[in-house]
Amino acid sequence: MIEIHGLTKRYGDFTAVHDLSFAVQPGEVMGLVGPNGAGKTTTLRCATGIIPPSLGAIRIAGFDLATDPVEAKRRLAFFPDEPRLFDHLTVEQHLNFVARLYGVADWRDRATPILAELEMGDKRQALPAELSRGMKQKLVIACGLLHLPSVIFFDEPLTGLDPGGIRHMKGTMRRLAREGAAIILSSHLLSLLEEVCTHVLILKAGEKVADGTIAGIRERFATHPDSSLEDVFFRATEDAPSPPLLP
Amino acid sequence: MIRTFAYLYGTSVRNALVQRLKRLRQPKYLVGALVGGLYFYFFVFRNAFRGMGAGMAGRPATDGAAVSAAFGPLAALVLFIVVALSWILSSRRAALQFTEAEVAFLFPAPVPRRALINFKLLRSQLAILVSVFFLTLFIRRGGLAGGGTLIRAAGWWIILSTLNLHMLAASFARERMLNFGLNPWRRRLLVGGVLLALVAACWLVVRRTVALPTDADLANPNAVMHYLDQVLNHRPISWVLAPFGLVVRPYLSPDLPAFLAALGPALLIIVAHYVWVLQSSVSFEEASLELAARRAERIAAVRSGRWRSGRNGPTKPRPEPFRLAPRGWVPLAFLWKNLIALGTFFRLRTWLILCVAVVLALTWVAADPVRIPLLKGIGMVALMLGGWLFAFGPMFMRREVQQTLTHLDITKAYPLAGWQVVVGQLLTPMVLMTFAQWLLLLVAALSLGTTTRDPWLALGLGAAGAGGVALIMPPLCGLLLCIPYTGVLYFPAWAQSTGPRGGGIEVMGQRLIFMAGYLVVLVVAVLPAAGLGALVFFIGNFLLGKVAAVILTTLCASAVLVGELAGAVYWLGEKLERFDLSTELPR
Repeated sequence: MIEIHGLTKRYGDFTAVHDLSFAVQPGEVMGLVGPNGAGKTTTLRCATGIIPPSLGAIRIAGFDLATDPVEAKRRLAFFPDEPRLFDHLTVEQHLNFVARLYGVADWRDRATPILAELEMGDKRQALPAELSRGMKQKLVIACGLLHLPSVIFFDEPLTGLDPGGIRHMKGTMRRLAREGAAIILSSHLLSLLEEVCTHVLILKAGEKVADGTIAGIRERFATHPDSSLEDVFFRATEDAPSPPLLP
Repeated sequence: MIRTFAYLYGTSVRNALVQRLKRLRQPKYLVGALVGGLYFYFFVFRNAFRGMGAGMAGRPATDGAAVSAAFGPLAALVLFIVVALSWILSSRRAALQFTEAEVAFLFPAPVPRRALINFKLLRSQLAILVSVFFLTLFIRRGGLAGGGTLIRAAGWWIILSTLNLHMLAASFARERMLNFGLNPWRRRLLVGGVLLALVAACWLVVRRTVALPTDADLANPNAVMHYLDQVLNHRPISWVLAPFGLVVRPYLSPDLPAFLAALGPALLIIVAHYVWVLQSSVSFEEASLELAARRAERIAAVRSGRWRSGRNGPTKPRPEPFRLAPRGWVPLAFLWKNLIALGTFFRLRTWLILCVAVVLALTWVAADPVRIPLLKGIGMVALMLGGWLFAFGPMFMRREVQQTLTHLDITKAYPLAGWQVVVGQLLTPMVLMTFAQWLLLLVAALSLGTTTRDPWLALGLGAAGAGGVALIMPPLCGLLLCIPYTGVLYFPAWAQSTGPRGGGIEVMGQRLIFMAGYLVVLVVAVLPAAGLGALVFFIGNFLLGKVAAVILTTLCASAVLVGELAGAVYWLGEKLERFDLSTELPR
């Protein structure tokens, strides 16, 4: 599970995230949502140990990220919005490399079903240059799932995916949650959060505006029973939606 | 339309300059600019501008006219060869170099084709003027044949502008040939054939009166020049070279009257080329589009630290250097990954083949006593190269170390301790540097060991010395590589600005400061090992003799270096773990 207490991150005089606390239990998918500059990326980077928080404590699967970063990171997987792969490693070599990093002795056995599920079984010897954007994203997922993480972070996971890839990605997230992973999903796509997430945390200017189940958030902010999550989001962040650019 | 382009270009240049000036408010750039400026002043401008006040009048040369006459045909020949090669070798299509933004905005806009060409030509003038400035600065022909600074600058401008226009016109002509079904190889054969026929015809005529060069003609540079002058001034060669001579004549003018006399014909040639370019009704848009995309891709590759760009990266898998077991020492995975990326040349097999080749070659050289001086020379060169590699090798591997920052958001998510990441990132350059040093050491030991009769370098002592130095190499290389790594972690802002993204005098100044800092730290890091080594050698030599002293010295020195390396790696690992990427990543 993910436990965050009093997370504060400052960049000089600017506070990107202020006193943020929340927890995500195994099997839960928490959507992290907020306008641009709300602090979503900073929160994700702090929670994955990429940048240190200025204040606060982060625990991943029971391990404190500050005092026991290696054990904490061994249990997490982070999927950035842009797949960043090694130009000269094939699909299989990427998995081999990641296996060594995480000490996955039976990586070949694990990789086969993962690649099959991602429809990449025939791409084992392909280099990143030979893969489409969606395939690259799938390879990142395969690498991230190889060590069976119990905590997973997705940052805009649908960027650049085709409809088939989007469907598959949603299915993967649901399956991982069913299997007991605690997931945080950062996205601007409110429809995605509505479909996949069990909980939502709304950030604005680095502070938590609301968090809870989608039903709970809707109950709190919706003006009428049929309010969409988009309406709820704008009410929660107290911003009137901009009029469409074109009629 | 020209005003629109002038606005675009003028505004862009002004904004770029303002940005450059604004960033001088940051101390790292200001200090860099000061150091870079001082460097340029002391090593370039101070000497280069001496005697540049001569201007148009120039410094009268005693035999300026004679020197100009002597060099004129030769310069014309060089220009002729450059132009001929551009017709034969170049495969570039009719392309004007635009940026992707220019393509996006200008190509769909209602801009006449002629205006696009003029825009491109005007823009290329800035690059030409910069080249003229530096060529005038560095090539001080004035001392040889007279002629003032402005004459030389104007001469260079005429040569470069003519070449620029000719290359463009030639690319249009090649495109037309392609449109007529003349593929590049046929065109090369055709142009090459015509040129060959021309050269053959000239030769047949000239050889009737000019004999083949004798030993006396080739005895010294003056004699060679004299012979060449004789040949090149002979008709019909002089006729062929005449237009090229007109282009270089302003540059070679010894004084103002001669320059003005040469200026008219040269300008006429430029105008003729301009008309040729404008009249070429060839479509350049498609090739320009492709060129702009390639250029953008190259720039992006360089900015991301990759010097070889491909549209999507490599498409052929490279063999693994060794099998990577899923469990074991983690930093080895970094070496495995990086060796795959480096390609099959960087393998142990290659190094062993090189060693065998070195042994065989040096044995052959040593077999003949006449070649002993050559052997000594080879040994000295190997030693010098080794020293140079020690001093500057890590600085050249700085780019790999700088990528630490680029990939730190990925590596920090790995379940690795800081020291493991540091070792992983240093391992590849360390291995490469060590093996290169070992090879150079082998060359030096075989070359100098064979040639000296000094008991110090006799076989036993030589072997002990070479073996000892070989033992010192890995920790020493690792330690040296820690220095730029430390620079990246402690001065990330400087490391980034001196990376591939950087440019300008201030960034050059930063590099100079880094280099000086590196050399100071290098001395400090090596000092304890050297001090202890000297002490052990002194005592060992007194008690046990020279061979034992050498062995003990290298063992102690390498132990100190290993200790220093371990300490440095641990310390850097701690720093890496605490390193706050917040200021380095976009928020």
